[in-house]
Formats: sequence, structure tokens, C-alpha cells
Amino acid sequence: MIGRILKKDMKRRKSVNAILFLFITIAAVFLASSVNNILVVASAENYYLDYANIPEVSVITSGTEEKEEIDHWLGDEAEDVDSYGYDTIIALPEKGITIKKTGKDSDFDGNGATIYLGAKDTEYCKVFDKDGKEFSLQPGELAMNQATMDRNHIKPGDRLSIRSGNTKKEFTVKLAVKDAAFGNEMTGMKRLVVSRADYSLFAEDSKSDLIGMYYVNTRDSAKFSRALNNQGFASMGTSITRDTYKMTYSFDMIVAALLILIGICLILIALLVLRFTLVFTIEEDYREIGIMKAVGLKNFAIKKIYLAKYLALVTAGSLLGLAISVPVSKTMIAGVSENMIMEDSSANLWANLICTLAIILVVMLFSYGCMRKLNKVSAITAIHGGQTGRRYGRRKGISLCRRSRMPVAAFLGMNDIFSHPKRYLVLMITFCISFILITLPLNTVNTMQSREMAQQFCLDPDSSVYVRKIEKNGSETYKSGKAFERDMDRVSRELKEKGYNAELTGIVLYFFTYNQPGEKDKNNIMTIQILGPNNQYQEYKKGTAPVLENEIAFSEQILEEKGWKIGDSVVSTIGGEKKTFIITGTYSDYMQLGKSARMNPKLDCSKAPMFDYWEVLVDIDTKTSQEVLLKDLAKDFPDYEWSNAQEVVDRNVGGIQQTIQGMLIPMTGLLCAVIMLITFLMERLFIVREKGEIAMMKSMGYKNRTIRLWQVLRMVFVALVSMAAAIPLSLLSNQYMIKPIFALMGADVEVQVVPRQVYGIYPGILLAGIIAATILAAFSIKKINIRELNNLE
Amino acid sequence: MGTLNVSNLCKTYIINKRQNNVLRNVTLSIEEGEMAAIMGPSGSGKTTLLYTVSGMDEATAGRVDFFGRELTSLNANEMSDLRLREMGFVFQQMYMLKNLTVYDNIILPAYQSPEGKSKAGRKAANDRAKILMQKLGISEIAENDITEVSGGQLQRACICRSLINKPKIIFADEPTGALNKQNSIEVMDELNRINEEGTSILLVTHDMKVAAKCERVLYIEDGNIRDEIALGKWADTQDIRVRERRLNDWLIKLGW
Repeated sequence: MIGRILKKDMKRRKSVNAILFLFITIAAVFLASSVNNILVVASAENYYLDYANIPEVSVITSGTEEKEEIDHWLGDEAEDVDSYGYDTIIALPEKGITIKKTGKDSDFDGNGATIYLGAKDTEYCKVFDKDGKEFSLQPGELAMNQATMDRNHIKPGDRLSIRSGNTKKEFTVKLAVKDAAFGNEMTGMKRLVVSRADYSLFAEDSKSDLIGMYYVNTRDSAKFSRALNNQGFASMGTSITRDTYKMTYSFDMIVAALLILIGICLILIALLVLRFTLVFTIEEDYREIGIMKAVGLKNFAIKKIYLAKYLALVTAGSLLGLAISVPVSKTMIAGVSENMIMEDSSANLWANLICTLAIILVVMLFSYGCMRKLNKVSAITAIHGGQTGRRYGRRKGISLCRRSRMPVAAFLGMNDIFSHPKRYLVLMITFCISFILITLPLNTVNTMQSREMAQQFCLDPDSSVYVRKIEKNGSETYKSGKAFERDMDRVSRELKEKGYNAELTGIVLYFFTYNQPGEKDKNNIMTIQILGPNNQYQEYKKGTAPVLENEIAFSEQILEEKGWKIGDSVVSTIGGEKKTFIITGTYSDYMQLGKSARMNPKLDCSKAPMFDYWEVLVDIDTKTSQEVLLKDLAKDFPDYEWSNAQEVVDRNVGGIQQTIQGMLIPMTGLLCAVIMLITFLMERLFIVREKGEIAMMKSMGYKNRTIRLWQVLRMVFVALVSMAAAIPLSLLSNQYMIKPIFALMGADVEVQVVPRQVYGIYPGILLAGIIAATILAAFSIKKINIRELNNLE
Repeated sequence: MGTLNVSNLCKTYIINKRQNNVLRNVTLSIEEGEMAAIMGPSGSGKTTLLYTVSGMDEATAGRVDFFGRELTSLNANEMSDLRLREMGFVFQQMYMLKNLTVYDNIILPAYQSPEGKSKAGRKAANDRAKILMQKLGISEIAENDITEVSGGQLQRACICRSLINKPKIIFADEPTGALNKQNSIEVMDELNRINEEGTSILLVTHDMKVAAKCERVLYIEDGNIRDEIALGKWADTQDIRVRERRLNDWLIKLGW
């Protein structure tokens, strides 16, 4: 009997059952793949760093002269050190690397980072192939990260020549690798990996360019770093904690966070839509249930029939969803795992299975809950679709006769929403979430392209252009500010010779240790000094810029961490001379993840070792556009690297801006597809429910196109209400989702909203999708015969 | 030439691959201002005939002329226009849009008509709706929800709606089928009054009392008009007993 009723039901109510089946499938796909992805992505950073054996602290020393003392301190004196390892890398002059391509050689582009040569077989900071697997390198073979290969248009098999000191060797690029410590585009250090034999060959000859790397596992990295600073090792450079490495992946995590967010939203949408569809389907069944009650069937017998139906539907739907969720999980994660090694999502298949079972359980519990109501409902109420026919509250709809100009189709659409707002709530939430989701990458990209972003990277957004690679061909990296200033003067002269009236301003980086007078703890802080005429463009949150020779400014994070205040004095030894500085101001930017110092431009630091230079600002008195100017300069001075502020920012955020920009269209497409599918199915549900009313309108002389217009306008109103609700929510999401991610980089930034895009173009695309899906679904209106009037309750 | 001329009308349904000839070469004519009833046993094709001659359902063969226009040659849009402007429908069940008030349901066809697009047209429609509701005695339920009124009131509201665009003919399918005796009398009185004002009416009924108030009664059996009887205008002979007796005798003769 149950079987016969079910068979008939499946056949007779094909549309509603098919829609419910599809929604269950979609819910299972979204839930299973999203939960799986959240599990993988949330642990991605830790998983990757563990996988590559990144220690708690990596200490960089210049040269190996103090190795014995440091080893002694680490092995015998330092507290809280669990274990440590040591290795070296070699700093390569960028121009010492040449890409050998058929016909001509080209320079290597390190994206502004210092290039290091390292051996493949290291115990710490390991590298892996693109699939996260071990690989081997033979002598003459070389590997580097994918972004560096892409930037230099290098493919496996291409040849590269490396020269350091008197050693020169040609290598064949074997493969692209994932390098957790040096592979992120945000780090200022890039590593080319060669075999141990090749590395030793260069190391023997490049003693002066050897960089020591101590890999320390400690229980308290902050305490260890303080103790290390207090030792005052002269060769000590910076120390990088595991948290710092994690932070360098912050921008990669924007993509991951977006994925998590999309996942959560999809789960929410899936469950909401599922609930709506279930309520709708059960309401549709009410009439039959009432008839069964009226002919004397017991409640349990009736429930059995419908629970069996829903069990069959949900089991089939969620199993299909489970099967689809596996490739969907992998595809979604593929986008995030370009720069990272992530746990294989198939390792979490149990998560997909649990989600599928959860869907079955939720649907069955919900169905059972709805069926329980039947105990309290009389046969006739059930026949009337659960409505008693009495209504005591005020009617919620609007009045047609009071709208003397509104077209009937528009009135009907609007009245439906006013009459049953709850019925459209699920759609409104779905649309609202989609509108918010699309604003997130848009606002992120716009923020990355803003003037403020350039300022956060210590650039003057008003400078004409920026230049790098001004070192003479073959010369090594700058060791002092004097050599750098000489080259700036040379470039300035060269520019003048070619008719460019330019002023050059260089941003030089040092590492100095500071402490307050009488304080024992020393603090190794990256210090920025601006050399040149354009040295007043930086902004300060409090106080003023350091101008006089004894003035300095520190970032907010440094002041907060050290407890220093504006007006305090700090001492430092610069070029062998002890100096006292007054703190005049504080600022926040992204330099060294928000922890840096700004030295006044007057102090002569030429005797101190220079770490690197950041950029050279080029201010040219010209009316030529920046685009043309860049082209002209690149043509006139092909050996130097010319860029605009956006390109410099992009270099420093690791191309993530392009990644997110690249995600915009696929993400809009995905969201559009999701909401189109949901809109289509929901609209079909509405049409099934309104069949009788549509037939009645047809009997009155309403044309198919007017009825379709009613349906489309109703959906447009729902979408517009959702858009209106999405605006304040999107502003909130800027504050609480985008801003904190940018803040991870060390400074607050104002999230940029371009109204034309955020409130116009992209929601417009989604709205067009909604309209298209509604029109497609509303084609079935044509097939409704006036005889369907019998379906009108 | 009548308002509605039907000749050799056929309607066939295929159910489970079996052909079911519901209407077989039906020929009939409804004159302007006439009120005619179709009677017949269950399954004889009464409702199918009403739906097919009104263009709500497509005929398999034959011809239906409405004021000289051949309905079977009109496309869906032209048919919709015709239904909107020149035809009114009253059904056994009181079909109305659930989200609208009684009043809004009544003016709905008027607002969709070409005249209803203008402010003046809408004002005229509202005035007409008020007059109609007053005439049919349902002014007090104008702002009510359709679930808050009685069946009789709702059926009168449906009649108001069918009249709002001043149709030339009203098709009514068992208009009193869902009503009690008192409501049935009231609804039929209204239909008679509308007919007196010049609107043609073709209705389907099982009820002899309803049919007796019509000018002519057609008897359909096995998809064909077997016979008809002219009872004369209701306004001329309002002795319901005489009309019912005549009708009864005729129906007995037909084996009713």
C-alpha cells in the first residue's frame, strides 16, 4: 500500500518532488564540500609550516665569523631552547643571475627581494614539489618557486646562469617548488635551490656573502628573541618567528578566508532553502493527509507514508550530493593551495560523509516535526492546507485600488511580498548574502589599489615613478648608504642627459638596536631612512616627523610593545658611535609587519652596514602621463626596473591583488550560478503553488507575458530589498572581516568602497542572473491550462 | 447571426492512450441578450462544452464564432484580449487571488484592460465596481479578505468581477453549485437582472430551479445536444412553478 501511494505520489507530483530532490542534493554538495574545505583551510598555515619543518625562530646572521660564539650560547647558555640547527645560504647579486634563452640572455627579476642560493637537502625550511612531494636535484639542476618562474617566464628545462664571486655555473631549471620560508611573495628573501654539491661549490668561493641561518625551536620565542638581542652579536640580522612566517601568508589567507566565508554562506543558504522547500512540500501534502485522516487512517499510518517518501528522497538526494561534493571540494581548494601545501581534502572524506548523514538526519527530524503537528490538526483543517480560514490580525498586503498608476503586474508582485514576507525571507537572505560576498573581493582589490595602500608601503603616491636595480651591472648588493647615494647621483645625471628633469629620493633600510638609557634589553629594529629631497611625504598618527639629527619616530606597535612614548629618549650605536635620539612621532604602516623605526634624514649613517634599499622615488617635472613616462623611461633606461606605485604594492603583497582580481569573475560567475539555480527552483515552486491562481488570471484574460512579468517583478522586488539590506551589512563586513585581515600586516587601512562597482555593476550582474533565472522558470506559465483552476484551493 | 455560433464542435481527450470523445459535432447558437442553460447527466460534456465555446480550452475540430470572429483561429494573446474585454466567467468554486481583498479581486480585470491603464480609466473602474457591489449587496465586504466572507458573498463578488469590464457574454459553470438555497436564489436573481440589462449568459447547471430561470435550456448527452426547450424570457413569465413544471416534463421525456 505504502509503495503504491509513494509510486503514485512521485509520478503525480513530479515537479515538487524533483525540486525537493535537487535542493537536498545542492544542500549536501554545499555542506559537505564547504565543511571539508573549512577543515582544510583553517589549519592550512600550521599544516604547511609543520610540513616544511619551519622552526619557532629563524635567526639570520651576516657571515659566519661569530658561529662559534652563537653555537656556544645556543647550546650551553640560552634558556628555553629545545633544539637548534644551522645552515647557510648565499646572497646573490640580482644581476649575477642571467636567464639563458635561445637567441638572447635576460636579467632575472627577483621582485625587489634579495635572492639567495640554498641547498636542497636541509633539515629545516624544506622545499617540496608542487604536489607537496619530496624531490631530488642533481648537480647542474635548480628549482625555484612558481611565482618567480612566472615572473621571469621560466619553464622547466630553461637554463639559468649564476655568478657569485669568481664562481659561475649554468643550471637547468628542473621544477617549480613550494618553499614555505622563502617562497611567499611578501617575504623580502627569495631562494634558488640547488644540489648540495653545487651549493658547496659556490659557498667555498663566496665566504663574504654567506648568510648564517639558525633554526631554533624554543618554548618562548619572545623571551628567546629578547635574550638573543641582549647578547649583542655584531653579525646578528633579523630573527623571524613562526608567527611572522604565518603573517606572510595573511594575504593568501584572504583567499582562504573568502573560501571559508563562501562555504559558511552556502551552508546557510542550503539549510534555509531546504527548510523552505520541505515546509512547502509538506504543506502541499496537507490536503491529502486531511483526506486520509477523514477516511479514518491513523496518524501513525499517515506519518509512515510521508516519512518513507521523504526518507527515499533525502537518501537519494544526499548520496548524489556526497558523490558530487568530492570533486567540488578539490576544485575549490585548488585555488588556495597554489602557494601552500594543504592537507588532501580526500583525507577528510569522513567530513563529507558526516555532513551527508547530517542532512538526512536534519531533513527527517524536520519532516517528523512537521508531521507531529498532524496530531493536533483536524481532518478538515488539513484539507484546507493547514489554514482554518479565520484570520484575526490586520491584513498585511497593499491595496490595488489605492495605486492609481501602478501596473497590475508590479502591484501583484509587491503585494505578494507584503502579504507573506516570511515566504520570501529565504530568498532575501540568499540574495543578501550573495550581494555581500561579491563586495568582499571587490573592496579588497580596491583597497589594495588605493593611495593609502601605497603609503602603508612607505611610498609617496604622488611620485612620478619608482625605480630599482640601479646597481651597476655585475656589482654586488649595497653594503653602505654612501655607495647607494653615489648610484642615485649617477642615475640622476643619466636622466638629465636624456632630458628628464628628475629628483631621486631613496628609501634605505638598516637594522639598528635601540634601548632606553639605562635599559638592559636591546631591540633590533628595522630602520628606514629617506635620502633625497622628497623626505617629508610620510604621515604620522601622533607627533611629528623626525627632522633634526637627534630625532627618530617609531611605529605604534614598537611603542606599544616597548612601552616607549613620544618625548622619550632611546640610544643606539650607529657606525660605531653611540647616539641618543628623542622620539618625535609615531605612525603605522606595513613595513616589517608594522614594527619599524623612521630615522631623521639628516643623520649620516654611511658608516653603518646598510641592509637593503626599498625603492627609489623619482619625481619628474613633466606633464606626460605616468603610463607614457614609464614606457619612455623603460625604453631609454632598459637596465633599470621602472614601476608605478600600484606595481610596487603588488610586488609586496605577493601578487595577491591579481589573484583576487582574477577571482572576481569566476566568483561572480559562481555566485550568479548559485543564485540563478536557487531562484529558478524557487520560482518553479512558486509557480507550482500558484498554478490555480495563474489559471484563474488566464481565465480573466491576463496574458502569459503579464503573468510572467508579475513573477519577474516580484523576484526583482525581493532582490532590491535584499540589496538595500546588503548595503549596511556590507559596510559592517568591511569593518569586521576585511579590515582585520589587512591589520594582520601591521597597520589599519581604510577599506575602499567604489560605489559604482559595489552598488552598481556587480549587484547588477547578479540581478540580471536573478531575472534571467525567473524568466526561464516562468516559461512554464505558458503550459498552465485554465483547467488547472481545480488546483486552486 | 447570434452572439455565439458553434458548429460541429468536437473535443477529444487521449487518456492512457485511449481516445475519449467528449464533444461530438456540437452545433448551437446563443442570441444576443439570451440567457441559456446547458443541462445533462454527469460526464455528458457540459463543462467541456462551456470551456471550449468560451475559448478557455481548445477544440479538436469544429468552429466557434463570437460576434463574427472565429475563436479557433485566434492565438493565445488575441484570446486573452477577448476574454478580458468581452467575456465574463463565473465558476462553481469562488476562485479568487488569496493575497488580495475582495474589492481588489473585483477590479483586477479592469486595471488590466486598456482603459484601466490610465488614471481616469481606473477611476471609472472603481466607480463601476462600487456600483456593482452595491447592486449585488456586498459593499460591506469590499476590504475583507476572501477567507472572511461567506460563499454566497464570494460568488456575488465573482459575478461583480465578471461584469467589471462590461462583457457581452457571461459563461457560468454551476454558479450556484457550492451555495445554499437562499444564496442560490440571490445569485440567480442577480444573473437574471444582468441578463435583463442586455448581457448574454450561457450557464451549465444540474439544478432545475436554476435552469428554469433561463430563456432556453439545452440538453447534452454523450457529447451532443440532444434537445432544447424554450421557456421564454424570465422577465416575461416569472411564474417559477409553471416554468419548472414545463422543464420537468421535458427532462422526464429525455430520461433525466
